[in-house]
Amino acid sequence: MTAVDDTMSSGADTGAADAAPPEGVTVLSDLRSHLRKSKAGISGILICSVFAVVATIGPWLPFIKDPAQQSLPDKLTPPVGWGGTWAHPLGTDQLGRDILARLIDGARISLLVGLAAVFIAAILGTALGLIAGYVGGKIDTLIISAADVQMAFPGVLAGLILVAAFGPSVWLVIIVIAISSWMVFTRVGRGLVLTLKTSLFVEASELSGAPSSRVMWRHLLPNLVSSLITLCVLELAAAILSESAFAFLGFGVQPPRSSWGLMIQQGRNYITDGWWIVTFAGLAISIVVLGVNLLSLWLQSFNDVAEREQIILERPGG
Amino acid sequence: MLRWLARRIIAAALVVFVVTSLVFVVTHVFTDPATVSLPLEATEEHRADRRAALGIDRPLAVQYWDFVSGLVVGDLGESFWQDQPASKLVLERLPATLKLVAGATAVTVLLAAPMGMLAAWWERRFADHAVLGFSMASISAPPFWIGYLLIIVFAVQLGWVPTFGSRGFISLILPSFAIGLASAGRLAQMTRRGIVEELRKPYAVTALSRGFSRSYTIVHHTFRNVASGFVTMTGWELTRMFTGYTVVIEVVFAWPGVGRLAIHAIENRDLILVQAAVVVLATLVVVTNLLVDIARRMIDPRVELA
Amino acid sequence: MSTTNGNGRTERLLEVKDLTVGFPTRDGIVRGVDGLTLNVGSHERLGVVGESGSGKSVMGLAILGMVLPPGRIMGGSVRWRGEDVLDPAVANRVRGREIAMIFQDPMVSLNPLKTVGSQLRELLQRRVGLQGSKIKQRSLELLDMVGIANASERLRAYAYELSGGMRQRVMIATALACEPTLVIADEPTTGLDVTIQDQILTLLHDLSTELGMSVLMITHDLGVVAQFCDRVQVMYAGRIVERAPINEMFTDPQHPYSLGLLHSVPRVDRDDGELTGIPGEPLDRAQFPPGCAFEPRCNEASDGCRDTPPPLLKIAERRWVACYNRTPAGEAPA
Repeated sequence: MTAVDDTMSSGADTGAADAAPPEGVTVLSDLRSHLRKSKAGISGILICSVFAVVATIGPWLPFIKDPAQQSLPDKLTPPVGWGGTWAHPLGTDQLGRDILARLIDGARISLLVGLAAVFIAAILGTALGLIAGYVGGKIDTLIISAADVQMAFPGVLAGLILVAAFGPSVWLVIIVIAISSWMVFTRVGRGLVLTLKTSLFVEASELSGAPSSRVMWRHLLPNLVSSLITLCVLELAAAILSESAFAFLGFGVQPPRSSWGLMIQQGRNYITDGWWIVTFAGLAISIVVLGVNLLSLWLQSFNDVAEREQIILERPGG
Repeated sequence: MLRWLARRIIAAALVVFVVTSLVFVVTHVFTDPATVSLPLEATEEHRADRRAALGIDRPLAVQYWDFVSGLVVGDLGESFWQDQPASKLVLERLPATLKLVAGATAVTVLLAAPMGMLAAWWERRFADHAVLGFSMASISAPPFWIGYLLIIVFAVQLGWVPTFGSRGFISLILPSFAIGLASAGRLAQMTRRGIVEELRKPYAVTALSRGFSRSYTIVHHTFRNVASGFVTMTGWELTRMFTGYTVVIEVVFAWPGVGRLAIHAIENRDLILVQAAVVVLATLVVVTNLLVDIARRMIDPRVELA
Repeated sequence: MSTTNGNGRTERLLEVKDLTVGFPTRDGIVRGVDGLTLNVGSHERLGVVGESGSGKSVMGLAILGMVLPPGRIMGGSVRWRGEDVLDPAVANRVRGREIAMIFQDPMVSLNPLKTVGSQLRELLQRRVGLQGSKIKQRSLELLDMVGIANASERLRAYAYELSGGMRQRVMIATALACEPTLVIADEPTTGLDVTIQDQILTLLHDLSTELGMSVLMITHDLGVVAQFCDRVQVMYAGRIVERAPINEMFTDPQHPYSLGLLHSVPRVDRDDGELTGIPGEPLDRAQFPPGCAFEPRCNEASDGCRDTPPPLLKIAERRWVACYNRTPAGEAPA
């Protein structure tokens, strides 16, 4: 991806794979072979699967303690390696609760809130984008202006005012995150529709008298899917980070339920004699978000490669 | 240029108007400041008194007119909790927030520009991968957690800087980094991508084919073309700071800014004060976007007269 | 393969041998240029003709040792007066000063944010070493040479403020700034009006005679070749398939692809410039047959064409062709 490069090589890898016959190559198998070459993709998928598994079946795993079980004599036990025991591998918090158990409990909230928010934003945003792009005219202007205004009024501000008005709750956090990301989907959806709208096959099916909504779903949605998946993954990372920030500010899950952001909020008064509470909770957020980001990086690079190859092969004159 | 500017300013004012009206709908139609300020078990009589005191018993249209005409002259209502004009309270805290954003922006730009250039220069080599690693890590870690890590290491363990509060320049360092690292990570990748893409464009290929070195071509040919994107992205980072990072980081570092004021106002059920803080922050976002557009036009005269 | 260009009077300037440029793709490495061999002598105008995707543009840059990533030069050599151009130190000396390139689309090939004057100035200052008032003087001279009126006014113009023909003249001026010995012109007239095309070609022709420059003309347009070149090579799928003096190419083409090209030239006007009329699909670089790349579209193909690509062999004085049906069987490549 540099500009013109001066580096030369002398026929060293002429033996490398010559063009293989592409017989009915599906996107999926392309994706799989691309994954094999990408460390980012593999680690991303690995982290995300572990996170998903832990979030769904975590509480039923053996040896996992009750996350709400207090035990004041055991309070602020350090993790293994810093003087702790395997009874509490990652130590305990200010009330003697097991950090590992609370982290696993918190994973559910992160996953739930993240997925729910992205799901709502994707459905709502894409629908608006499709309508704006397909119908055009005043409705298009209205939707696009709304997206512009939303850009100027990001989620945290909306979160502040809504929490002030209605009090904290998980559902409010989901709604706030969703309204701070719907316009991303709207823009992409609208852009793709506008490109496809002009392309011949839509015109052709309009001429043959197909109803417009059917044309929309039949032709446009499949084309949207790959962009949407990439976008959803990207937004999921942002959503998990936002959830942790809202929880940290005390806007989301309320005690005694636990969430990673809330653990940091509760552990912050103990950073001198219990650094592990804040450290492990933040580490959990960071690793999961990193996993999602790696996944999204890989998906984007896959799309890039596809584009780049076309550029090389289609550029006039070679 | 002047006509473009006038149009752009009117559009920005319109956005501020729409946003504040939406805020009014939330704070006065869906609920009202009196209800929020009272505990659930308050008597109906108590509520009526509070409504009358806050003027919320009047028709909505009248209240809205009051709200809008107040906005125009900078009156954002009375803080119930502090018993002072809300605008005064917010404006008192504004310099601290601006200072924080300035520090964070300095960290962002000073880290991102050199890292992006290094990564582009040594594309696909170690430096590029290292910068990508930094970017991925910094955008994946929550800023408030970075804040606590910095406190644990530099304030608690090493004792180099004070932990909390805003006493002089020194105390600005940790919060600025806590905010700036993530922004720098994103901006470094954008800078790298910008330079790499510009270097592939025909005009850069021409320059290289004339025998200009890669470094000369990067500095003398691509920079101006990358600059416009850099300014835009920096603007976006600024808006992220105003509306997210500062709120959280002010809480972490007990920084006396607008964000922390808003959080305290929520804790004290003071809807009017939260509303004032949100209106001011949203206005800052709009103003930032306006300034970014102006800067872009100055860099590249071809930018559309949109 | 031989490196004689068959003309004893000229000095040999550029020698390209077995040059191969590969682009990694999901299906393996695609060779944009595959074992290319060509020579350019002094005072010579050589044409390289081929359709889209034949690797012509990749070749032009690769001669200067430049490849757009992720492509790489995988083998072969490029020598300029005996020196290895693929050595970065030599390349830095040769690029622009000895070999200058003219690109297809001057709208995007000139820096959009720099004036004509400043683009000439940086060349004259950094690559030629002129100073002070001599820079301005030489800039005006250069614009004058390429036929730009109001030269001192044009120095302050940006590329987007000029017409297409004017831009290409400016491009030529920047190429001439360092008084190169060889100019590589990559589709210099594509996208211009027919009348302007003519002016630009005439300008290049006159300049090359006056200044004693050689020109390597890369084009898809046989008309350009006929008007401009002394000698022509036909390129298909990254390889040279035929090489001949200009008259013989038009009167007696040998390779089936060259034949097809000549038949596809429209008689009266050629405004779209597309080469049509050859049966079969145009190039799909990912599906090269192991043998002759033209075999799938060739009406003379036989089983013998499918195993290994035919070598470029001499069939007469100054005539070379790569086709099993034209060269004596069993003869080894030189």
